[in-house]
Amino acid sequence: MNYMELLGALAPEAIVVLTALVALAVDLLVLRQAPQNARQVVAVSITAVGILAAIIALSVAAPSPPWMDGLLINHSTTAFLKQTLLVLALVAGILSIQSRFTQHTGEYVTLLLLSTVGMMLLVSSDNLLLMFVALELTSLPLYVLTAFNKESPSSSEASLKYFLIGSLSAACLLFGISLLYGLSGGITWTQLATTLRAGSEPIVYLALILTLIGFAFKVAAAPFHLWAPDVYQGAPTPVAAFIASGSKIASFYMFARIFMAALPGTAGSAAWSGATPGWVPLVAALAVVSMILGNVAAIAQRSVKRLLAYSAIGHAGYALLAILSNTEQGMGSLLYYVVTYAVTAMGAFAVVNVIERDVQAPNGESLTDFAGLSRRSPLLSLCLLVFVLSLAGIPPLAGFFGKFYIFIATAQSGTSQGLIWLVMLAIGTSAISLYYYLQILKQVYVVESVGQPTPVQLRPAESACIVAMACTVLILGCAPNWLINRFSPNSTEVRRAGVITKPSTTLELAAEIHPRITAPLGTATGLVQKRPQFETTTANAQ
Amino acid sequence: MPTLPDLLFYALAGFTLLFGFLCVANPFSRNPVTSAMFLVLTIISMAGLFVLLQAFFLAAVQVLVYAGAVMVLFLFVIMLLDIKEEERRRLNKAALGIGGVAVLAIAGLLVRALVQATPLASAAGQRAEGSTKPLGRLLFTEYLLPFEILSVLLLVAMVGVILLSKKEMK
Amino acid sequence: MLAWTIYLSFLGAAMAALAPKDRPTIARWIALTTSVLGLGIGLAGILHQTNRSALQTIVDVPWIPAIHARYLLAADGISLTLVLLTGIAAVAGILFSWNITHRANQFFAFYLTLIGGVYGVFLSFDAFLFFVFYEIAIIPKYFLVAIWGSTNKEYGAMKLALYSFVGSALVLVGLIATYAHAGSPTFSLLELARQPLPTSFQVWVFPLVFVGFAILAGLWPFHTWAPTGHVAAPTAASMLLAGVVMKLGAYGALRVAMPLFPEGLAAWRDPLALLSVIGILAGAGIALIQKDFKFVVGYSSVSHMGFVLLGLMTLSVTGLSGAVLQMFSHGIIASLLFAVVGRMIYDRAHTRELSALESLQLSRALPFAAITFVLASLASMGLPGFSGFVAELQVLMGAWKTFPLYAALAGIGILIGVAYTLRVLVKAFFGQSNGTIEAATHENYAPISIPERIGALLLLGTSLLVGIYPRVLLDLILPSFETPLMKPLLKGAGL
Repeated sequence: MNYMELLGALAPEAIVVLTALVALAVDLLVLRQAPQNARQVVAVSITAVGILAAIIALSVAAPSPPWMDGLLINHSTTAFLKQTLLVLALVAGILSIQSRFTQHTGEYVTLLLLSTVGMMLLVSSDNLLLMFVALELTSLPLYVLTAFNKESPSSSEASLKYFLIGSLSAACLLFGISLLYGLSGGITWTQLATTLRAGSEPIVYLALILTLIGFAFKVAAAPFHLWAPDVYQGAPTPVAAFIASGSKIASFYMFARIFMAALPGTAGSAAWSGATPGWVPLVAALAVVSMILGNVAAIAQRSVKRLLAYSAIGHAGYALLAILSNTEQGMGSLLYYVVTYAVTAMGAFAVVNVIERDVQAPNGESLTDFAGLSRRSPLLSLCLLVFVLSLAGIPPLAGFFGKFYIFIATAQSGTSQGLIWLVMLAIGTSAISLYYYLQILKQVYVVESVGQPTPVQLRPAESACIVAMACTVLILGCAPNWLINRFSPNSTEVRRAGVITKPSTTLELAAEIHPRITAPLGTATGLVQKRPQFETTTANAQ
Repeated sequence: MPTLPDLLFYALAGFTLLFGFLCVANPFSRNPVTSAMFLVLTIISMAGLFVLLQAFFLAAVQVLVYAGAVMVLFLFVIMLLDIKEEERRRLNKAALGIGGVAVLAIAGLLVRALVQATPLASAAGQRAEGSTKPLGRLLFTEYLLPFEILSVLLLVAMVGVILLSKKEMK
Repeated sequence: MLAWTIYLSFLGAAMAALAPKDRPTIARWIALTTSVLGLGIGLAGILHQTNRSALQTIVDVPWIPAIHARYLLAADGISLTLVLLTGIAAVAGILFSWNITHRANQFFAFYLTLIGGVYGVFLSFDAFLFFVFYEIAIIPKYFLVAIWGSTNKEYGAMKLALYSFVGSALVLVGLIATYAHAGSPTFSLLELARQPLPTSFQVWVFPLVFVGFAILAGLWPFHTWAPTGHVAAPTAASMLLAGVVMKLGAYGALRVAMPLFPEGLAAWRDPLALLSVIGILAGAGIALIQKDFKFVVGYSSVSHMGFVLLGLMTLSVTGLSGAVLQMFSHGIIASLLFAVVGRMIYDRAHTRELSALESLQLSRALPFAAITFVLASLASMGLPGFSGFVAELQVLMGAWKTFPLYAALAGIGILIGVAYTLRVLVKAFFGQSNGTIEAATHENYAPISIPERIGALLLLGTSLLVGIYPRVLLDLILPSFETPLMKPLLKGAGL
């Protein structure tokens, strides 16, 4: 491996870093005197060009072998996740045009892009060292971005809270991974997986707990969620949208991989009868608390951003179920879930962003600001309907299939459906959640606005983004195969060091089913279940 | 029979903890300058731990950069902002209770782990060499990537600090 | 071809949503055309079916291989009967909501989405697909009631949505547990029914799935959403709720819960039969003392749906076909009753209080409404010649063999039904005037419009046709119990 090869493997990240620097330089050197709006448009355009270039670079890149003991790994799943992150960052950039939370457009896009670089590195590392550095690179810009609205005290307060709690969690994580290193003598997944076994050392459990706490903070799982409502509400809305979407994808992916791939020997079991110690029961505890607390606390909220924050906590609980299922299918369902959730959350925040600009309330938006939206902007309310119902898990939207897939993966994992109690709890809390999601929709569709309804001002780029995201949510819900197939082929690669407890269902032989499904439904030929077509692991289809 | 390095380790680790505690929760003084000074002592004790690990370069850097340069900046800012003595806040009983339980739980776990632990074979295979040359070689070959990422991280910190501390011009 | 009932409804919903806001006529005609086409396709499907096998596959393609879900639409006689019911109720509902002008495009968009979901449920033979359509039907109901309803509409709408969602959550738990438990994972109903599941498993999953569905069918004591929901809903929505949506629950119980868990069914059969008889009696008894006209009809729905559930529990061909026939019959009659109450009377007199209606002498003001309601009441009481008679008779005959006591109690339920029906009939239309009635009030009432007349005749005609010549449906329904999905159900009962 030489430096050029490293640069080649890192080309997308390098492009994004360069874009960030160019955007900063252009804004500060050339456009100092230009009007604010022009500066925003130029900065976002530069971002768009850079992100497009990075996306292209990702799609043409040849898969590289793991570099330096998993310090950097690239395969088609990581490439897809990175592309998703880049698109989300671009949307967050577009949303900020015309918003008045800051004069410093150049710095805004720079930090946004550098945080994205952190996330990109986070998804392509199999190594504790790089994981920690990437996590810091992800978080630090987000702390600053949260404080961007200097006229709002709640923005600074949220940022301080985010920073302090984030640092604390980073300390826990660092303690945890240093113990893991000390116990195993290695920092890569393979080294960890081969040395660490449950029951050998009590310190293993301590390391697990500390690592878990660190990640639980990052993904806002209860009881480590306290920063989330304040940050979602206090941060400028485009930033909150990015925290709720991009950062979720990267953190959950890393969360799942470090436990599934690096620590399979210490999994334990969370079965209702016969639980054994390990990280699975700990994750189960987090999931239970998150699902209950998130969904119940959301009912009492009056601000839509806070409501979305609590709903995000509940959704983190569902995603944790996928992690604790500890199977390939669980990994696939987790990725489907977080990607679709990220798009949905970004969309919901985009709508909130429009409304917030529209009402210009000093204390942020509230539920009642959405009253009569369906008369004021049918398009926007239809998109919000799609996003909110997807969050609630109503078919045929992506959120429904995401949850369903996770529940299936959880129910099938473990022996004799010992985890079905978690599925029951999840379904129960999801029934509660419909109540508060309907509260939003009630404001939009049922309650009439006060006075003559005035149309909401929408910019073309913004509405294009919102409509595109709504369509994505609908299409991915109706035809989830496309996304699932992107994740399933190399899930072996993803958790290659892991113990495979269940065969991948996609691999199960359809032939077993086929001969038995025959006569009563008539035409047997239509019933042949084809074995799903797998993509090859190479990403260089072009 | 503990050897001398063992004794030194326990002493330095104890100092680190003690000074760290005094830095954030000094019962005798609420003066930020005092806290900063205890932070210096904490860092120096940690540098001592590095010496025990024969990581002399890290120990030196720890003292020079953190105890030296960074702390000077800290003090500079404290004096510049003219921070008064911190007021004693009323403690929220519920928060204190929950926090206490959490701390006790973690501490209990630690103690249990320590009591039951069996001495590990020197797990971390190779010890960090003390001199600067191998360290530099590692940083620019094997660990070049994290090293470069840290430079981006510093850029973020710089941009963030300038942005947050600058007065908004309207 | 039957699949187009679903696609057309969703297409119509999209078109109605895009129709101009201030021109309700366009949305109306889109909706009417779509639903008439749907009804036509349903009829054509029935004609097509008569000379084919009992169960036909319509579409069958892999949908989501990762969870073995297939896009599998099929139809047997039971599905076709209910597809026909949906078609008729949908057309009638649109005719009776011809006067809606407030956000008409959205109204018909939600309405058609609901119809599309319902068609989908009746035609799905894959449990996952079934569930998807089942849930699609929940949200439009909420909006229909909450936006265009009356009397406590937001409460009624939320209660309706949450009850439905809790019901579907129970079903979901059952489905996922079954999928995880099945030897070879699949969602195909036929395939699942063929895989023997352990008895201990069936005994705890069956009640979850059955009750989950039966909540929507108004099983006592989970019926409370029905009266409030029906009363709060606008006319067309209450027609659909009583006429079609309650059938979704009963159909789900018959199609999914019972064939998949025969041993669970055996264990829970007696208590469930008891609950359905309690439902018959309680619904009828409460209807007897209601002051609001619409509540009477609402509780009567609970009572009549009790017959459906009782019919299901008999596990005999007579009882089961009676239950299906009762679903159809009640769908038609309840739609008609709600149409008279909600559209013909309430939209004109602006009250549904029986005491207030008593003094209005509506039989003179609205003779058409009075005649329609008299006929509908006769049908609802189960008079020979109307569909209700055949259906309830079959259920009672089926129940007599297995549960003689319950059959007798259900008979008492019919008698109470006669009592409350006559009571509202007299109070609402033939009340004693105090002599203070002004002719002016009557003249303010708009005459019964053409769409209303067509809708009423459509529903009445259907009920009469089925009542006089029930074989038109029974010939469809009976062969369905010979299909591999349904046949084991009857064997399990030892009949």
